Amino acid sequence: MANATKRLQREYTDLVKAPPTWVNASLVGDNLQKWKASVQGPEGTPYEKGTFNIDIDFPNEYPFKPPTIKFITKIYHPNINSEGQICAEVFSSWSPQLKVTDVLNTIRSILVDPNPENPLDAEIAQIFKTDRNAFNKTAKEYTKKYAK
Amino acid sequence: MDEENYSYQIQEIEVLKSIYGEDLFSEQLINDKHQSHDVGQQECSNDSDDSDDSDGSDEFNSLSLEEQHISKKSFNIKISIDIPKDFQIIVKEDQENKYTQSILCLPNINLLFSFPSEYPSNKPPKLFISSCWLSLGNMNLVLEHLYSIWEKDELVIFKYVDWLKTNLLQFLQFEKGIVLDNEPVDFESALWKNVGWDHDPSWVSLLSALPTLRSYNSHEGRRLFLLNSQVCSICDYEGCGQEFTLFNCLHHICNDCVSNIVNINIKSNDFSSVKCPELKCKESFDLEVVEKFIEKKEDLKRYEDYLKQSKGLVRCLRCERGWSHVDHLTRSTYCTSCYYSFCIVCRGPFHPGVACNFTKIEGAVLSKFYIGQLRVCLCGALIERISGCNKMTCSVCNTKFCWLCSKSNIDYDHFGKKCQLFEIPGERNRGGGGNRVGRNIGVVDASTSCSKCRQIVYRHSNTNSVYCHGCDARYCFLCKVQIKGTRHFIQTSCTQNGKPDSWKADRTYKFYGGNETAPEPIYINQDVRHQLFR
Repeated sequence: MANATKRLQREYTDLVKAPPTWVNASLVGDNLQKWKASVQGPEGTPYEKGTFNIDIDFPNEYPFKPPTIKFITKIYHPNINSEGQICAEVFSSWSPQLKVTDVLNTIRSILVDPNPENPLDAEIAQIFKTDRNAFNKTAKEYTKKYAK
Repeated sequence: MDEENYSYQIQEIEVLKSIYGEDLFSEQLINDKHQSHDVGQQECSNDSDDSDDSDGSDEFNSLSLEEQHISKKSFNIKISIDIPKDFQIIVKEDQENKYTQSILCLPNINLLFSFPSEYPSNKPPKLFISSCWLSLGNMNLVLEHLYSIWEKDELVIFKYVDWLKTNLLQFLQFEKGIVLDNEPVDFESALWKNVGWDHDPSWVSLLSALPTLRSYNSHEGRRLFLLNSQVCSICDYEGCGQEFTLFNCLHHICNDCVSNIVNINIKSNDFSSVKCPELKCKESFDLEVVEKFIEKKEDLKRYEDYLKQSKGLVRCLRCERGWSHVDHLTRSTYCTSCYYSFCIVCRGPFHPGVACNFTKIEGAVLSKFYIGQLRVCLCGALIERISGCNKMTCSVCNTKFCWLCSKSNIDYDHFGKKCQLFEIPGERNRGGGGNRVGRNIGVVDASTSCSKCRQIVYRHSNTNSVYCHGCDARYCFLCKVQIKGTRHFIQTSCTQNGKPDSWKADRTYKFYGGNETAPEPIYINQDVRHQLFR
C-alpha cells in the first residue's frame, strides 16, 4: 500500500509536470488510486478527432500488479468490448517497472494499430481482418457519435 | 646524467607504491633473461600469483636491501579496467554461432616495467603487458601505442596506467564488448617477447578464458555491487548495495521490491511473475531469493510445488508427498517414492491395454482430455479455466488449445465456426450421446433434486428430460419419474419442453432466470470428482 501511494504520487506529479499532448489525466476526487484520462484519437486512424475517456484503477499491490483499464466512451475496436474492457493479453506481460505513461502509450498504440490476433470482440476482429473499409466506416461513425 | 635519472626513477617508484599499495604494486628482480612465458603463466589467476611473487621478492629484498639497484628490478602493476555499462562478452564459437553475456568487470591486466638507465631522459621504460582476455596482437598494438605517447624527460608510468584503465577498450574498439573466439593462440609468435597471455596449461584459444572471466565476474562483480550505491528501477530508492538484490541476470532492485514481488505474486498464484522485473528479461528468481523474502511458509511450499510442476512432474495420487514423472507415450505416471502408477487421463490406476473411459471426445484431437471442469494437458498438468476467453495456454508446456473442443495448437482463427471465443461450456450443445461426459449439455435453466438419491439434477435448455448423475438414469424433470426415451411426455400430462400450465412445483425446484446465474453443471459422476479435488 505504501508502495502504491508513493509511486503513484510521483507518477502523477511527473505526468502533470510534463503531460503528453494527446492525453489528459487527472485524479477522481482525492483518491490516488483512481484516475481518469481522456485520450485523443490518434491522427490517421478512424478514431481521429475523438476524445476517449478512460478509467484507470490501481490495485493496492500496484506497481506489482497492473492497473485495471476501462473505456468509458463507447468505441468500436477489436481489442475493446462493449463494456470497455481491454483484452487481458495486451497487459499480460506486466512488469513493475512499467509506469502509467507506458500504459497510456500501450492504449494509444492499440488505437493506432489494433491487434486482431488478440480480439476481445471476435466479430469486430473478423470485420477488421476481412473488410477494412467497413471497419473504418463503423469505427468513424462510433467516434463521431460517442467520442465527442 | 644517470644519477639524475636514477633519482627520478626512485621517486617515481615511491609515488607509485603509495598510490597503488601492496595489493596492486609489486616488484621483483630481473632474472638473467626476461622470461615472458613464465611470467605469463604465473599471472593467470590473481590470487595464486600473489604468493609466488611476494615469496621471490621478499627473499631478495632481505638479502640485498636498499642498495639493490633499481635497474635490476622489474615492477608490476595490476590494472582493473573501467568498463562501460551494459558491457558484454561476445562469444564466437564459429562463424555463425555467437552469443553474448553481460558482465560487470574484467580480470586485471598486468603492466610490467623496468627502467633502463637512460629513462626518463632519453628512453621510455621497458614494458611488458599480459592479460588473459586480450589477443597477443591487440596487446602488442596497445604496447606500441604506449611507447608512442612517451615524451622525453617524462615520468610516464602513472600516465600509462591511467590510459590503460580508461582508454584501453575504446582504443581497441571494444566499447560494446570483448570478443572471445576459438582461434588458436600462436605460442611461437615473436610477440611473446613484449606481451604475454595469462593462461592455464590446457588453454588453447581466447575462448578458454571464458570460465575464468565468468567466475571472476560473479565474485568481483558482487563485491563491487555491494560497495557501490545503487538505484532501484521500481521505487527509485537509492541506497548502498547491501540493501539491494543482484540477480543472476545482473539486474538489481531493492530488497523491499523483491519482497513485494515474491509475496504478492505467490499469494495470488501468479507464479510466473516471480521473475526479474526488467522488461524482456526472463530470468526467474533463484529459490534462495524466494526463500529469503517469503513471509508465509505455506506460500513457499506452493511455489516449490509450482516449480516441480513446471518441470513436468505431477503430484502422486497415492502418497501425499510424492511427485510422479509422466510418460507421454502411455499417458501414465510413475511416482519415485511409492512406485504407484496412474493414468493421467482418468486418474485411476494405470491400465495398460485397456481403453480409457475418458479418451473419446467427439473426434477431437486426443491431445487434451476432459475431466469435468478441468482439462488434462498431455504434459500431465491439470488445467482449470477461471476467466477469459476459450483460447487456453498450458502454463507448463505452453501448448495452446481450445477449451471447448480440446483441439491443440490452435490460434484465434479456430474460433467463430464451431467453437466461440467467448462462450461458457454450458451454452453449447455437444449432442453426441453415448458419452457420459459430453451428454446433457445446454444452458442450465433449472434444477431439482433426484427423488431417489437426492443428487441435484439440472435441466438444460428447457428440456424436461433430465439426467441424474447419481443414479445414472434419465428422469422427467416435472414428475421425477424414471423415463426412457420421450414416450413419457406423450402418454402423460407432462410436457417435454418448458413449464406446463397445470403443474405445482415444490421447494426442490429452482429456476434460474434474469440476473441469477446458474451453478456449474456437473458433467461427471461424483466419485471421479472427489478424486480430482482431493
